[in-house]
Amino acid sequence: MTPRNVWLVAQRDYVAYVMRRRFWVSLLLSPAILLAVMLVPAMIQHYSSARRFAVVDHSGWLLPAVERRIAAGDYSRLLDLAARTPPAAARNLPPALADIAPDAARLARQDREALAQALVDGSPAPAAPAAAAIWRQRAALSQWYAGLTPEAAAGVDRGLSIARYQLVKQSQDSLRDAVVQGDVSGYFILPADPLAANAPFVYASHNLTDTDLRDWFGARVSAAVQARRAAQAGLSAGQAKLIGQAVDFDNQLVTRQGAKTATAAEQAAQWLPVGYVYLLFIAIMQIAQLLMLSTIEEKSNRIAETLLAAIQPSDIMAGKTLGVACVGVTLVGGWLVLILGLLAVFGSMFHLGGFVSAILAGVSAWDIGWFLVYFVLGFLLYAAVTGAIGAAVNNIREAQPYMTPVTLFMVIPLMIMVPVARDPTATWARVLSYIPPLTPFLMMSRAGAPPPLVDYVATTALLLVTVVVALYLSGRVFQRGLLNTGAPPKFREMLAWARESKTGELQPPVN
Amino acid sequence: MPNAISVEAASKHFGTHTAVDRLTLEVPSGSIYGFLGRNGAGKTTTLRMITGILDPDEGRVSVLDGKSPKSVRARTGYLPEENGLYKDMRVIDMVAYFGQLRGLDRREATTRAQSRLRAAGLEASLTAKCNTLSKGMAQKAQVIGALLHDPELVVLDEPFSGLDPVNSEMVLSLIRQYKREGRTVIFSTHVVEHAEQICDSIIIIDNGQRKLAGPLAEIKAQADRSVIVDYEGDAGALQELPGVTAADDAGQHAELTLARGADTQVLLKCLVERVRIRRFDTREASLKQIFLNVVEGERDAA
Repeated sequence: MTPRNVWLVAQRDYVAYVMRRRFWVSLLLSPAILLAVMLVPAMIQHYSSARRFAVVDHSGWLLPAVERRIAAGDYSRLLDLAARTPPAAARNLPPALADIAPDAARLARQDREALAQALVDGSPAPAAPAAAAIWRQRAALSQWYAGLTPEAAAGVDRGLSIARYQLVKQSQDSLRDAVVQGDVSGYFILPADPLAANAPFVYASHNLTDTDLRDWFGARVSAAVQARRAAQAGLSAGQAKLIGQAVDFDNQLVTRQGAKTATAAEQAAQWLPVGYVYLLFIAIMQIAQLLMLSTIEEKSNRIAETLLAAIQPSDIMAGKTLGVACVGVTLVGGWLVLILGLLAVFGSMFHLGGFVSAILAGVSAWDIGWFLVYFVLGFLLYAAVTGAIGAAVNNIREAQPYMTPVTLFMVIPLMIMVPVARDPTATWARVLSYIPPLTPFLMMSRAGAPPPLVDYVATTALLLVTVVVALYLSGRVFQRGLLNTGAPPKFREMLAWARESKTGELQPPVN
Repeated sequence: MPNAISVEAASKHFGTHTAVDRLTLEVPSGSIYGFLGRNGAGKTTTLRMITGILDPDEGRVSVLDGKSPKSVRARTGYLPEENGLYKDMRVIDMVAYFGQLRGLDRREATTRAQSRLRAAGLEASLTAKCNTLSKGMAQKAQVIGALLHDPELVVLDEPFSGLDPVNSEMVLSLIRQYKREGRTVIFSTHVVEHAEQICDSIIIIDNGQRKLAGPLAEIKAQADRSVIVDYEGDAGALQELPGVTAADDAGQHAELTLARGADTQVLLKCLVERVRIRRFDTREASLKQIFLNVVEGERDAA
């Protein structure tokens, strides 16, 4: 092999691909699609208007109780908002909130929650002086809250219930028409005796696949019913709350430094290996296919024989592999830069910035190092196969039967990466990761609970040997295939090419 | 004169098919050498062995002072019949790239590409994409690219294939120019007249075997004489006339190959009895007739 020739071929292929319009389309379009998938749901929620619903309350007491719970939840959010707003920014709040912001900042979280309930019920405020100061503003606060439209509420905090759901008055007779005409998303019927066992609660809508409204309202109805049942049983509100409270596990992340409570972002970062596998899959699939297309193009352009007369087939294959690999690295690198850049811009807009940076903080040099090792070896293994296929066939259609099993083999790790990431130390996961074509993907799937060093070393050694053998055999098929312009070889014939040592072709030229 | 190419009993098999069968030939340095043969005769396989693309299964191929073809790639230039272009590449870049692959550095390759494309009348297309070139222009660019490194040995596989008379003449003059510059040129062709115009030596290959080879002048001198006849009327079976060994009859024009010692007066008398003669011209045999005699003789023998 001559390094100069390899470099020349690689350089030409790289420039030829990067100068094409479809390279730039692919570079820009893929991150845009990915970003759209990530951000569109958040944007839809961000810009969607409040969902309208109606309630028929046969009990006479349940709906007011639920409304008080809804209001208490909103007051709690508003107190939190006022508390965390810096004094300099307080003037941006509505006057009713700006007035209470300094006092809210002095209250503990649980005091703010108790105060919210007191403001709704009119019960005494918590003992803290700041709570008493806010309680004195109750009338102004209530008046402002009662006058809030869903749009105005969304301008203050999109998480407020009144910004997301709007209870509308609707006569019982017109409910069905209102749903059908789209005036309301759905309606609830609360029974006359909601405390009875198996009381007939009803939720009616023309779209039962959307459970958001039902779940939100149902949770508050359940809480109100539980509270009333507890009161009837002689329990205090505090006792009732305690009984209804679910057990909350503190998720702790164990590392060599010890165990500490994991933030939501840190928990999400545990799924980083899945991200690695996706990236590996996309990069290897994309680049290996590029190599095949590039080789087919060389044949269809009738350039192959000119190249073969000038340089060794091994120079051509190595050069094309290197050139296309550089194209792939540029593509994937470009995607990463664009995705991170776009997330930095749009992520902060949708409050994802901290989440993204926390996930990125979970990326370790160890994982990146092994990612690169498995990327290079995985790419070379699949490039050996696709390069040989590209040389043996004359067009993409002829390549399909050969590419189907290759693609299937690459999809297997995608199908099992979640089970592997959940249980990376399982024997079956360990055994499968020793199968060379699966090794890059499954070892990265196992990165969440780092596999023992022996697994890294042994799987890499096995993969390396496989890559060397694959490149050697593929080189022979490549050499023979480039001059083959007749019907594509059968799989058995390709194996025969790989076994033969002499340069040649199955079909002689016509002249 | 030393030999630029020496092929010694070379054979090449593809599965059960033998494309080249114990072929031996020698090409003198500085000569123009033509490969003639029918489709599938083994010409391209032989040229591919000479350029090092294929290795012979048996025998030996050496070029330029007895070297193996692969070791002197920078001194040989090859234009395959199925040659193409990188469609998205600029003409000057593609030509320079081929020069670089043959050992030229980037600057030298670009300089040469520029001057030779200009000299060939492609100045306006220097920075155009290759897919905008006409067939004739593309052929010029391909020849310039294949030979940018000024090889000592030039190998052209069917260089006239698909070209109109103007572009065929352009290739013929290029080949003559290479000879004047002291290079050795070998080429294969179906157009026997082209070989007859410019070749110093030829080889006729059939079924992978050498059927006839040597300097063209000697081959023609040793061949039987022929008579060119232009006539009107129905001549019947011309090859049955006395002293005629073969006839290439086009209807009103025929070339008759004569046996040694044949009496042309007797032949003329027989012809006059059959048709009205407008031309009766005795000459040495044409290469086309020699080729047909060899190839059809082979077919008859088979």
